[in-house]
Amino acid sequence: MISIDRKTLALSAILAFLAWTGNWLNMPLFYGVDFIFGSIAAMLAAALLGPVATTVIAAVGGLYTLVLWNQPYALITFTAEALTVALLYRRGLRNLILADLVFWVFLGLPLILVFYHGIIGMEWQSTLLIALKQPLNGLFNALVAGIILLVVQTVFRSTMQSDRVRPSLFELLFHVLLCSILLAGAIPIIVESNAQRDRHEAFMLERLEQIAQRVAADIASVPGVEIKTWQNHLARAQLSPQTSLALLDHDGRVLIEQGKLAAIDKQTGQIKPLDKGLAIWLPYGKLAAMERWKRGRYLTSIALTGVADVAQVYIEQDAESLVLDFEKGRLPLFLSLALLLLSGIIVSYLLSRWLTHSLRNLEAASFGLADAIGNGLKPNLPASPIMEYDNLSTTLNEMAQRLTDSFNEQSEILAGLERQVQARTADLKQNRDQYQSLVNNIPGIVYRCKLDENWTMLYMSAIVDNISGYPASDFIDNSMRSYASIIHPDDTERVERSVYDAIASGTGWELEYRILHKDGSIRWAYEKGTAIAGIAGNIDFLDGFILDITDRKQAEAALRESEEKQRHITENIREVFWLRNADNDRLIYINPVYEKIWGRSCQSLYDDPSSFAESIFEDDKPVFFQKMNQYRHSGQFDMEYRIATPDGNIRWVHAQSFPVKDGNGQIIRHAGRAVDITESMRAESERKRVTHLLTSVLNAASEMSIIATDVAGIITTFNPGAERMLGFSSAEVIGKKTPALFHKAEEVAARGLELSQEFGRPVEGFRVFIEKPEQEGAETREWTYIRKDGRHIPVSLVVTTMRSDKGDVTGYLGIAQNITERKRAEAALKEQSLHTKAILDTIVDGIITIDRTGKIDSFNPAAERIFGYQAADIVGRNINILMPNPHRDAHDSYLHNYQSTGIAKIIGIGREIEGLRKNGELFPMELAISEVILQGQAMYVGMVRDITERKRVDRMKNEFVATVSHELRTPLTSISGALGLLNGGVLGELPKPVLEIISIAYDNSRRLADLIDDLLDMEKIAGGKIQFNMQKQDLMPLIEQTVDANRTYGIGRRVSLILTGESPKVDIYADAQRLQQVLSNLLSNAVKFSPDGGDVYINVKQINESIRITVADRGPGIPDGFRDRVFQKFAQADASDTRKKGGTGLGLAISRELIERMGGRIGFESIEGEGASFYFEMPIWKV
Amino acid sequence: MSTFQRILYVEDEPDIQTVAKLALEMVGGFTVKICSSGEEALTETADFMPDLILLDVMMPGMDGPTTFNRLREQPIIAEIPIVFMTAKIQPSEIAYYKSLGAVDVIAKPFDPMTLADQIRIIWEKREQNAPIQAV
Repeated sequence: MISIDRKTLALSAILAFLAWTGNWLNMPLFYGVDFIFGSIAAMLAAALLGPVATTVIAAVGGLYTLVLWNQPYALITFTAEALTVALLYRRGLRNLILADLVFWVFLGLPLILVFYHGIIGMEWQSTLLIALKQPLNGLFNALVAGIILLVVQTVFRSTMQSDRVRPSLFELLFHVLLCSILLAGAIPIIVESNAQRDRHEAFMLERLEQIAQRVAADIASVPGVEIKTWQNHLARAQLSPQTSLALLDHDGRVLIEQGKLAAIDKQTGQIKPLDKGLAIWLPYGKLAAMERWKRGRYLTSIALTGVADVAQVYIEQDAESLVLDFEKGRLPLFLSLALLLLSGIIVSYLLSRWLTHSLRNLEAASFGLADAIGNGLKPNLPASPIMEYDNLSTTLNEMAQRLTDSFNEQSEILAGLERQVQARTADLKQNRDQYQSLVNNIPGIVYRCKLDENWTMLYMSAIVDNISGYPASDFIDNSMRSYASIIHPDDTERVERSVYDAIASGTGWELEYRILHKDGSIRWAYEKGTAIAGIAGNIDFLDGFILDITDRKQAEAALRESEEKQRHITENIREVFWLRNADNDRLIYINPVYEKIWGRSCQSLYDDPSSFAESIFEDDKPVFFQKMNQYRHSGQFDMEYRIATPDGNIRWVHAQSFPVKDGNGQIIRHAGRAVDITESMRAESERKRVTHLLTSVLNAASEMSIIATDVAGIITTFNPGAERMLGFSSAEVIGKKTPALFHKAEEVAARGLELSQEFGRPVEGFRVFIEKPEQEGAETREWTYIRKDGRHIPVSLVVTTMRSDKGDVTGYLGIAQNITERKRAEAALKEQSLHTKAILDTIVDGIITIDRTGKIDSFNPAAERIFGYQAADIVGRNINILMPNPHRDAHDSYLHNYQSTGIAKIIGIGREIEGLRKNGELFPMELAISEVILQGQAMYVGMVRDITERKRVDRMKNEFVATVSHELRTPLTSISGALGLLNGGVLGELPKPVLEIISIAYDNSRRLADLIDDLLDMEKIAGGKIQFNMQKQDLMPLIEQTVDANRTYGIGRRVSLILTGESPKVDIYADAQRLQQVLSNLLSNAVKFSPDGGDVYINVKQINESIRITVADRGPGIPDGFRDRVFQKFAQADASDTRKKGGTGLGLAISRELIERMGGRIGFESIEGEGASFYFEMPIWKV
Repeated sequence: MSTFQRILYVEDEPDIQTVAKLALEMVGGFTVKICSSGEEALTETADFMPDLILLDVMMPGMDGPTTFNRLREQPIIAEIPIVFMTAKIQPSEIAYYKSLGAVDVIAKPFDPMTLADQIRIIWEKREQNAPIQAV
């Protein structure tokens, strides 16, 4: 990759543009020989940019030569030239001219010969010309480029960064010389070349004018227009075919011509005027300049006077012969130019080298000059034959000599200074050693550290070794460790704080702290230090002094400990002792503990020894004095008794007394001591109490087996409960057996295996029982005890660990309860629950329980069948998944409302509702929900019955009934109508028996019609098809109207309908027609069941917010056994009665449905044998 | 009050035709013409020019309501009051007949002895409710 920076890119672009422009600005050096200047830019690129850029730039510039010369070889040659120069320049040949010369000699010339002679097929002469011209052009451009480069390098010297691009004198000289030589040599040659051409053309003009004038003279000599003659003149004048002649009229038109007139035709070429009437015609077309010239024609004309019609004599001549002559003459010119250039180069080179030789020598010599002077040697610069150089050399020599001398002098002064410094250093070292020795000999550590993050130590006395175990070098510069790191961690913060506080307040610090010695011991250090401010007032250093005060500290500690012990001993003496004289019983000494225990002063005893007796508790006095008497004989007194202290407390003391004898065995004194044993007496009594209690508990716990063991498992306690439960006596087991005696070995082994796995180590034998309790305090498990008689008893055993106050295990306690009954109950419960589950599983109704949030808790198999969900899938989900909307979305709020208000929508009420199966199918179901409170939480039990099939059957039945009823009516209309006409006597009088029969038939046809009406009503109600036209109704007119309408019905049986009561003025909200239907039904029933001539009372009465309409009869009443079924379909108390009374058995069922649908209720009161009162109630309409 | 004498009864069932004809003529003293189908009624009514038409609902071919509408299309007879006599007497059905323009509805099975009175009451009610005709 070539990395190109922006500057290089810009320079490349500029040079490429200049290369092209340079070629475009070609300059004809001689006629047909063009100098081009593009390679100046290419050469500059070679020097400045390197081979790649140079090649590109040269190629861009060379493109113009395609236009100029119509062939690619110049482009190739120039590109090769630029590339070669760039490569040579890069290899170190830093002279563009020499590099170019190398190219032309070794590569350029052979290339030109091959291209121009070999490929284009040019004549040798022309080829040679080109072979001379191109190098000339190239070298000239290289020279120009070299000069530009030198100028640039000189002018922009300051921006040049290295020697490499700074111009050398040699190069400057070389270029200037070459330039001079070329200018001096080339200008005459070029001038000569141009002069040569001018001469040739002047000769051409002269010849053409001669011929033309001759023709003119000839024509002028012949008067009149003699075309033929003129033609002959012209033919004569045409000396060669290369010449053509013509006569032109005043408009320049050709009158007659001789030879081919190429130049007249402006289409094929152009005419360029030259000097003195001569012009040259050059053909158009793609031709090299020399070739174009060769094919061109010189032309001129002279004016002709005195001949009518003919104005000019025109003459043309091929340029070829002239060009050939010219070329012949030009080759030597070029040769000389080439020689001039070559010799110029050589001369310039040699001359430049010679001129700069001395200077270079001087330069070379001057390289060693500095060292020579530095070493005090005599400099030796080369002499030169050139005066200026020689003078320069001499001057330099002298200057160097002086410098050398001066340098030697300086060296001596320096050496003196160095000796002084060494002497001073030695002094200082001695001082420092003394100071060091001083520092090392003071008993403390002196240090200086920087106030930086690590307290970098600058100096530290060697004695730090004693207190820390580390050498001072470890701390200096913190090379191994910082001093701070050996300060006791508990003290670090305090030390830092003290130091910083001191620095902040500008005072010193003084503190004590601990140090961690290398050997692990702790040493005490005392430190006093201060911060040292620098010139700027900043704190530069901390200086301090550290003293090992471990010994002092230890001494202090020892002292404190000793004092503590002393105090401890003093405070802990609890014993009273005393001495009495044997002869007078006076007290010689009693220690002050007496005052503490007895609460009396020692002095009181000194004053009156017998006052001692006052303190003895009254009950103990007799024994005390008895013992005292015994002491006189036995010499021994040892008693525990009570004393009464002045503050009213009773204390227990244990006192002993013994005689002290002299050498003769004579008793001289009595000594005694007494101890306060109140606490131990109290503890003993407490212990007794507890033991007693424990024993009582153990004995009383007859239903509990309480067994204690020692640490090894040997039984130490075996209470009566245990005896009873296990059949062993305590004597058999205590101190002899372990619980293994009555445990089932397999159970113990199995549990041991479990524990072994749990803890990852073998647990067996007695440890099986205590492993867990030891860790967790207690463990409760079920075990099987084996009684002495071999019976098995299931027990729940709690094992606890007994520990001493110190926490040591002292034994284990196992309390077992017989759980036979519990087990039995559990088994029964389990059986019961299995039983219940079996019922639930096999029941056809779906049973679902949900919690208070609506989440499904259980889902029995029937529910699975009904809804299509598996219990496992649905338990835990919201019950509303089983409902279609709007119930689904509203269900959570139903539940919530119920729980907060207690108002039930479904709970506690069975109803029909739509369910949603898993497959999305809707189906009718009967749902009954009840609330159950379990452990304080409400849950809901839903019983679901899929009534799809029942509904379908119902629907079919209803449709069937409707159809049948309807179809029955048509024939019934005819029958009933026909019988009615007969019965009505319309068709004439009938014999009485016939009339009776007809009457029966007619009545029955009417009944059949009624039955069909009722059936239809019932079907409509059941199918929900009945529609109510609910409106506000004025009650009383409605009642009166109905009663009136039914009066006729009673007339036949002499039954009167009597309206009684208050006739309240109220409105109700109902369907008038349906209400009348109900009342009519009740009235017809009452009439039907009334005895002949009986009364039916209709009563209207307001009860609270309702109105009650009662219809009462004096009939047989409702039998007790029938009360429940009164409102059921087809219900009749007595089948035989029905026939007598008529009626379908549907009337009351329909009435109840209608009343309830309208928001009322219906009922009856009856005493069998005394009649019945049927009533219905409707709510009163309120605005 | 105009005289009320002529009744056209449209009914497909011959037995009911007989019973009704007897009841209306012998009990009520009306002049009765029976048509056995809706089609027949459409052709016969204009000739007979009844005072009132009794119309069954369920009939083969053209049913009662259709016949009703077709009768109303004949301008001469368009004003003749029509009463439906039918076994289909659910409230919604009755409302439907009345919405067509029927004067009233008589339920089947009818009581032959009171049928004539029933019709007369309907007639009188209608007379009362009829708008006063401009003379």
